[in-house]
Amino acid sequence: MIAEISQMLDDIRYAVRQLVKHRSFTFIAVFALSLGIGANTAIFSVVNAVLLRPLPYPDPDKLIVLRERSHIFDNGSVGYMNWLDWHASQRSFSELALVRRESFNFSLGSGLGSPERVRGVRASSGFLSVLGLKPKLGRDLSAVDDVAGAPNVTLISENLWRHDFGASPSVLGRRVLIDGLQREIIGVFPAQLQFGRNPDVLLPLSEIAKEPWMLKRDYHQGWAALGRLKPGVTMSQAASDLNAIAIDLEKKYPESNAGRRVKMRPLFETTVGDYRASLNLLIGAVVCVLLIACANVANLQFARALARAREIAVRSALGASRWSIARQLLVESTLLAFIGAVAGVLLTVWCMDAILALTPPNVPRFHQATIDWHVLAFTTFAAVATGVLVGVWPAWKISHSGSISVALHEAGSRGSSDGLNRQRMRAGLVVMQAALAIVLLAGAGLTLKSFWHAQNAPLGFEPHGVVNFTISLPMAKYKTGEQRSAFWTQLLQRVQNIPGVDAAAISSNSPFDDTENDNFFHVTGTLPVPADQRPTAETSVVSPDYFRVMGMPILRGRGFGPQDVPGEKGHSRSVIIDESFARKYFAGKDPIGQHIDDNDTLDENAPPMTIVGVVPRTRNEAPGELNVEALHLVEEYLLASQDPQPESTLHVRTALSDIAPIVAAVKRDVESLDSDQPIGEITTLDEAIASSLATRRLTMVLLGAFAVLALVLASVGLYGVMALTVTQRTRELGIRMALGAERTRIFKLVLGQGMSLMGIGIAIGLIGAVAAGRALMSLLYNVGAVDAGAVLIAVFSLLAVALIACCVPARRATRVDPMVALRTE
Amino acid sequence: MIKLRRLERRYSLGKEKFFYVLRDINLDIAEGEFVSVMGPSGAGKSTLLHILGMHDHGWQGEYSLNDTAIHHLKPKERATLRNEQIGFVFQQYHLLDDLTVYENLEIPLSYRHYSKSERAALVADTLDRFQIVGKKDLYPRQLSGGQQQLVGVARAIIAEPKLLLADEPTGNLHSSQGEEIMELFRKLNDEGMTIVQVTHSDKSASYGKRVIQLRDGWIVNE
Ligand SMILES: Nc1ncnc2c1ncn2[C@@H]1O[C@H](COP(=O)(O)OP(=O)(O)O)[C@@H](O)[C@H]1O
Ligand SMILES: [Mg+2]
Repeated sequence: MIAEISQMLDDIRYAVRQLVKHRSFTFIAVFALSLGIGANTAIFSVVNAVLLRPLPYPDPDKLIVLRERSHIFDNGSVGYMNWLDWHASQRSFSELALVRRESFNFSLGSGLGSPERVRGVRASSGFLSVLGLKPKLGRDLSAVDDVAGAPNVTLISENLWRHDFGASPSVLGRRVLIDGLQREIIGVFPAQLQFGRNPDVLLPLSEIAKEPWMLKRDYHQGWAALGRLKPGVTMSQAASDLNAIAIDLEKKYPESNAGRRVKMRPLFETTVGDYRASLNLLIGAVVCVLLIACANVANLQFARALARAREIAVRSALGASRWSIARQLLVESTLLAFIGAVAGVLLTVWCMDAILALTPPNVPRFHQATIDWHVLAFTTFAAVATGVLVGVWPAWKISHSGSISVALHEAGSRGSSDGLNRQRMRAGLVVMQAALAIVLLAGAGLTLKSFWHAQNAPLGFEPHGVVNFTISLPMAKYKTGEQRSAFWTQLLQRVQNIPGVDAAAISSNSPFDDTENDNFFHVTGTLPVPADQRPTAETSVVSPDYFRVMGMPILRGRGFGPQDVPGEKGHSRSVIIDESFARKYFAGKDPIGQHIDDNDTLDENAPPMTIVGVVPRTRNEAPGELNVEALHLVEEYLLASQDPQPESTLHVRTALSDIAPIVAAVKRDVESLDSDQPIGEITTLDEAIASSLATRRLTMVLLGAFAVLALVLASVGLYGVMALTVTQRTRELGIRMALGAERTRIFKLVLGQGMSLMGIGIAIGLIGAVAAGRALMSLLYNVGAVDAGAVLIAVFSLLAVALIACCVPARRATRVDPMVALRTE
Repeated sequence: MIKLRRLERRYSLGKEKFFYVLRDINLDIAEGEFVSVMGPSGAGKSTLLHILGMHDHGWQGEYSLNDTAIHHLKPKERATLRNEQIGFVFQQYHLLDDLTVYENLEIPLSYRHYSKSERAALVADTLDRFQIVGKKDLYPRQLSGGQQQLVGVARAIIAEPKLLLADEPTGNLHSSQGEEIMELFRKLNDEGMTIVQVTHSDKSASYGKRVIQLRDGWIVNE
């Protein structure tokens, strides 16, 4: 044992000396490996945080998210009334909680400090216990809190407790103002709770449990149900249990529940499933980069093999076993890989912030990416694997290169050239690098083009110059439509007078925000439609200037105006539809003046709405999401004064590039109207659109970066091989020149050799690129798997870089002095 | 000690055609002999020596070393036997350029089961015996050809082999340096080591007790 350790130390000592002695080799190899291993470490640390780390709850695999599947939405939200029945009848889950993400106006009390908008969840009493969490302090919600009439209570987050209450235990029993109601803090939930993007408050159902919009079975208020499977129950058993209940409900309530089933996905999938494909793609890309780096280093090893072959033959003749020689080479390449790994990890640390800045901003798991021991273990593994890969193969090849006597004989005669086999091997490695680089470049080209398409997909409105402010009026304070209407009208009047504001409007369903609002409708006078085939429209409730703010022309009819008087019972409301609505439901007719029944209004006696105008179709979410675009939902706009909403986005159009004074003025105006009223998010519409493309941008930028790395590494590899070839062919080139070859001929000879290697690599790479394109399809928007532009760019960029990499050795070849070249023999 | 019977070495020249480098070699060398193999270039001398040194396995016939039938051994067993019995000296010295004299001497020991202290003692002894203690930290390129070959011989015998094989050990040396090496060989032979050397020079051959002439792969006389 001790002998082996000392043997090992000797090997390491010798390897260090070799690496120091062959500095330029070491430098290029470490450079290549650090890029390869660094890229892998960076992506792995993200993958580890997002896809591999379990959710921070006990037994997380048992946690299932339940949603409703209907003829329109595969993954639609759960209706409160349906949940009540599920909850009462199901036997598969130890607990089935109802939960939705919300944000709330929060302050320590009326007039105490500035109100803020905080993230929160509203949930039934089982929510924390389903997750396996207990309050850090105080009590959990109880069944009493699920029904109307319970006292107003809240739990707050550990984070809020530390920041706003100095982690004081006396926080229990304190009252805070949330959404216009004084609520008692009954508990503090632990920081582990991430559900709903790190919420700060947890509110019970009690205050809304008797609201009419909660009790209408046809309404789906954005809920999800969260269950923990009982021991021994599988997800598919639970699904048949719940679907049996859904079928019962369908029989009892065909009007609302026809065709409705229960959709189940593990909580983990709902949290990270959307990112799996992109991350897998990036893993594929960095593995390619690492392979290219390995091919590079293996090639450098082969270049040294000539010198190495003599050393190995001599050592064999002196008694070294094949194993001891392989071990020596392995120690050397592993040492090299480790230096590369250390450099790579440093590189990762250095790049990590930049990578994290690209990740989707509202997905907490991305931002938990760190270089922890999992990542270091992975990097170590990658380094060892790399060491073996770049070490064993050349070692095996070299040690099998024939008998000792042949090797010694070859080594003895100076100037002997590289074996034909080894030349082929090196050429093969260069071809492989070129092929992998083409695959990456073409893939990057596809994602680039897809991103460009996504970014430039027609919006139907003009986002530039629009600033959004989300404002949510608490129902407790703004009980009536008149109160809400008064607030919005006054706010709009004030905001319009802010210097620099060209126009202002509100909408309840702003493009590129989180809310979606869909309503069933029926075209008045047409045949009734069965419940499970009813059409639905994406609906937004807007103020008259909305279309002006959004730069949307009125295509037919008119916009909303003073003639649309605030709705009273029995008065027909006005509606503006988009062109797709007009095309689909009023083909060949003038839709203006036609009527639509709003099946979703709470007012049973409301007369049909009257269509007054047609506007362009707009895109409301990022391309490629399962959204209005994919479902082909038509769009309709209602008028805010006829249907006053508590929660709206204020849109302000301005030509100013510095929006800070406008933001300050809007804040002042809101505060002057209601000093307890905070503003939620403030963002420009441009920013909102940009952040909806975050995952695409992440994939595009990283894939692009990796493609560039691949390009650099492949060209360094080509350069290395060509430079060595020229050195080895010095004598041949000298003879050719002595026999009268012109310098341009020599130049072309060398260039031709390099470029033909590239040509073969590109040809193979193109096959790979087609396969990669297929695999990419699900991530692409409006781009085919094979895209001529992307492929051409890939081929030309590789050819251009390869040309440069070949030109330098080719020029050196033309400067060979025949006399000197021949004398070296 | 060495017994060769009907030993042949041939290279394939395409299908069914062979080029014979050694043919029907029958040879006995007793322990303690000092044999010189001579003959024109290309006669097969080096080939014979590499077969004796078990660097080459592509031969037919019988080869016994101290009554061990080499032709029945597996490569691994041959390697073990070689490590125990044989030292090899090259015409081109083949010292490792990146290692010092001391480290070059240590190589054969590192591949045999010597402890660290045994190695140090043996290397020190050998440096002493060859009077190159002062050169132990020098690199091969800092030595003259004769000095390099001196190290080459020292390296060949440091693991105490019974048989020393030398392929033109003085071929690259001036005559005075060559004589020095030959004196050394004689001394080693006097101490009991069996030596087989390839040489072109009658002078070198005269240090040995027996000459074998090879021509076109045949032993022509003794
Ligand atoms: N690997 C080989 N393949 C084919 N022929 C070889 C090989 N090695 C040596 N030979 C041939 O074997 C013959 C003997 O070579 P060698 O033993 O080196 O001669 P010597 O040492 O007597 O000069 C030569 O003709 C040489 O060309
Ligand atoms: Mg020879």
